[in-house]
Amino acid sequence: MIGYAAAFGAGLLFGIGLWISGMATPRKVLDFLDVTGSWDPSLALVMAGAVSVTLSASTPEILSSP
Amino acid sequence: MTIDNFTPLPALAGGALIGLASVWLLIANGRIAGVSGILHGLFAEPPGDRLWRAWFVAGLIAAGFTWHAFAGSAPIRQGFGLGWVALAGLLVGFGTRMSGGCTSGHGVCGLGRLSLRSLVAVALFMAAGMAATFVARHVLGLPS
Repeated sequence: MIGYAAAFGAGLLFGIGLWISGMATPRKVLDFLDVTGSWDPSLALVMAGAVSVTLSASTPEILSSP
Repeated sequence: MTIDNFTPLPALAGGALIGLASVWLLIANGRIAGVSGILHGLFAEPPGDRLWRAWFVAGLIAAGFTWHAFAGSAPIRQGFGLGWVALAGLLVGFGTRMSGGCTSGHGVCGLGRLSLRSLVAVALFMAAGMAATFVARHVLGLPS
């Protein structure tokens, strides 16, 4: 039961993060991919923000697993 | 190239929440928060491995309703009807399975584990996405 509640909470938090970051807006994702047009680098910063959290939480065991 | 719609602070803050959610799922359930993989497993994994996936997807959808309730109407894909959007979603699912993961699985989780395989995947699918966007917007002139 705890696992299911945690999964729901993780999905909720993930989704709120998507909306706050603007990545739930198709246009912002397209604007990131459109490097020759009106480029919107926001998606790169979303990934940077997320990876900095996952990276800092990575333990040596996680990093050594395939 | 022009840059006129960059939103750095919401991007960083939202990204941090996405990272937190991924770490949370890994610690609580021992699972990688790759959204395309979770959705795929909802249909392809044995029944015993499906319920937590359903709860995660329910959380994602609940976030959409929560945002809608507090921040107003959701932005939609302009210039295309529902049928086209559904077809596009199908292609997204097909593409993410081909690349073995998406921006969350390969990007947020894979790069966070310093996975070379994920780094190559992210570089390639971003490049392919940029090429596809160039063709769609600047060659075919599709609405954006």
